[in-house]
Amino acid sequence: MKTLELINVNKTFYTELGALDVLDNISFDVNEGEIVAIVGPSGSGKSTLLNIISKLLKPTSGEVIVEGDIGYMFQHDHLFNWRTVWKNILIGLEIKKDKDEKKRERVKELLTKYELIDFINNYPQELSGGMRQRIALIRTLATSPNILLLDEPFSALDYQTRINVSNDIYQIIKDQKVSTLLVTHDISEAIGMADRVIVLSHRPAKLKKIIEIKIDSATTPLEKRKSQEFAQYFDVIWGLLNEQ
Amino acid sequence: MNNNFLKQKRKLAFKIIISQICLLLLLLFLWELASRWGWIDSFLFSKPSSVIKLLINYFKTGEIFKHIGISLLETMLGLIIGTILGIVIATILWWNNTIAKILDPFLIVGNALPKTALAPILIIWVGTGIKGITVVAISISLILTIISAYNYFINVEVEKIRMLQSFKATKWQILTKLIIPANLGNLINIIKINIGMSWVGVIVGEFIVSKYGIGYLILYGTQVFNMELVMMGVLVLAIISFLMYEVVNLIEKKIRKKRN
Repeated sequence: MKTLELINVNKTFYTELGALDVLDNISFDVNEGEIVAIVGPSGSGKSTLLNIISKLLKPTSGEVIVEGDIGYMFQHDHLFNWRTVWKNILIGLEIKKDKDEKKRERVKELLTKYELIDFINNYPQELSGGMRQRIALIRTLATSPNILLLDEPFSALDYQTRINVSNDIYQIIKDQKVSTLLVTHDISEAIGMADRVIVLSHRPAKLKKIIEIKIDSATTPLEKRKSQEFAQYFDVIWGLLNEQ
Repeated sequence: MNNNFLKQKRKLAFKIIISQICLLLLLLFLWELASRWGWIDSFLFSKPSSVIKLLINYFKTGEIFKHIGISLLETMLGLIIGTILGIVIATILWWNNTIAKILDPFLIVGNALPKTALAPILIIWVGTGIKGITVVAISISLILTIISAYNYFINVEVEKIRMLQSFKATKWQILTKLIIPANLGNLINIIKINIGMSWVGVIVGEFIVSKYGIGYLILYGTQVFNMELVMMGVLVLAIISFLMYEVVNLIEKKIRKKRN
């Protein structure tokens, strides 16, 4: 089943300086439980694409079909430092006025499973960057979204943390079987986490290629990084991105 | 180790307070001496001992309470109404960008205008007494409160707002769950600034027309060349505004403790 489907999406911005084509006939889908990564040169319209999927922007033409609710994870965790971890995690349910016992129990189970339960009475500023990003993911998952949009979720972290956190986040997402669209400029991250990688061209962004990632010997991003196929995929994507 | 560190820290804080008190006493002592030994004209500059004597007299007759009471009431009214009204208007501007854009030039002019120049007209319009003086106090703090609170509100990170919107938060929820709590410290700072602003309004108002109040005492003292009275007024003013500031500080500390 498809959770997200884009059909021939075009986007043109009209400004005082004239028309600016940003997206050129983009079509792809995300299946249930699948992680799809989008990589592209900076300024290739990745954010525009996300904004269209999240309905902040309207496509000039084409169609976007989303099955169910969207959950977001941003570059920064955006945890509120005046709320405890627990209250931060519940903010989505609080906004939806949906804090019944069952939902809270489920959140507690998630926290226990991912070893965050001991920190629920702490304030975010007392925790490490990696832990904060995992908490931000649980905050998003608390409202049980059908598809996750991750917008450069690790780029604010230092190198070592970012590899560890992407590993943790990958396991949580796969565990919970949430369909995910990951936007990143980091090729290794895309190969490590995604089942398929979509490569976009320079502006106006065309879909250059969809690459299926199949690394049978490894199950986590960390292990995948060490595999032989990893380097090959890297070269292919690197080549596609640098092609004029 | 830790205990030692805390002890050292407390010791330093104590030392600073002692030094501050000593400095104050030294200045008062020099003033007294200069006045007594004729370095300065004691008729124009008065001297601490006479000021204190006068203050004690005012306390004994109970007259001081009437003056303090009325000025304090006007200041508190000006502070509370000015701050709340200012924050409410800032919230409306944050809520509706078009209104903010329309009012922008008016706010800028209103802020640049010396509000004390408007005080006589305001008093003529509203009437004398507590009402008129409170309005003058409000006029001084209001515009600055609107401008600063509005600026704090619109400077909250856009992505934090998007995070809440991704859970389909309403504008009211964004206001109450993010904008206000994120700016609690800033709003307390606005209150601190408004204490001073309200006192300016009250004293100016009392200078223009009044029968009681600390501003009245100071103006009356100047008119009859009773410098002891003027200095006493200023002294009382200094003590009360310091105390008000400290009360807000205490509230702030309580809130911070609760939050962290």
